[in-house]
Amino acid sequence: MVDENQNGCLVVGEGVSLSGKFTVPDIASISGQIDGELSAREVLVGVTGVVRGKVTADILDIRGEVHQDLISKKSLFIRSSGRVMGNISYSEIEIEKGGDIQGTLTRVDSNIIDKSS
Amino acid sequence: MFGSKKIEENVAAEDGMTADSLNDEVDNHDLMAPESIATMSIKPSVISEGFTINGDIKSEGQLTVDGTIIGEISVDSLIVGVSGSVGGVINAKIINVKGSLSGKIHCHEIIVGGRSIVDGELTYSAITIQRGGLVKGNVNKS
Repeated sequence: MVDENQNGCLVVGEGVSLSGKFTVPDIASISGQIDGELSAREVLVGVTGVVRGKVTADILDIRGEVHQDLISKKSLFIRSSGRVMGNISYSEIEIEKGGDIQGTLTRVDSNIIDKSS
Repeated sequence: MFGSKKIEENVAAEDGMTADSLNDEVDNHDLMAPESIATMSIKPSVISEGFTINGDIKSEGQLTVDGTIIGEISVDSLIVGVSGSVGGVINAKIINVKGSLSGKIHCHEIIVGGRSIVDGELTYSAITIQRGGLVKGNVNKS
């Protein structure tokens, strides 16, 4: 998934709990717990990962839990063990059978997001 | 009168035979879910392309829609084809969408295919969205 010393990456191991605002230039791999705001190019939430707060990413791959706002500029994958609750904005979505999604879904054109940001 | 009775008996016998042969066929597929067996015993209803219905539909079996339906729909299994469009209050055990579906949707399982559009209030127990599928509105797990 993510190399040990790759530039611009955040790896949160299982059992680790963080809170605050995180800006990750590349990949954020979350197997622990995060409270707060997380923005990255790519967010991978592992089976044991829990994120409470606003998550913004180009590519989101969710096997764990995400509460509150979720903004995906490119692709959003919710795997069979994934649970997402809250407001979801996406440009492309894929949910595996067993994946859980609750809240309001809005589709946004990826070009529009790029222009506004 | 006698003649017609005889015909009825013949029809009944034939129905019995086809049902039996169908069951035999089904028994061979051990992997099949019980729901799909129940669905198979009733012939599917089809709303073809270019056909538009404004009204309510109730069925214990399968409904395939390639045309347009607006109204209250209560079926066991709903398949919306690529050219199909269904809107209104929809109640179904299994929904497979390849076209467009809108309104208040209540189902056990929903499969949203790529290139399909689901818009409205959706309540489900199991959901699958294939890549490219578009879902708008409120989504709730029951």
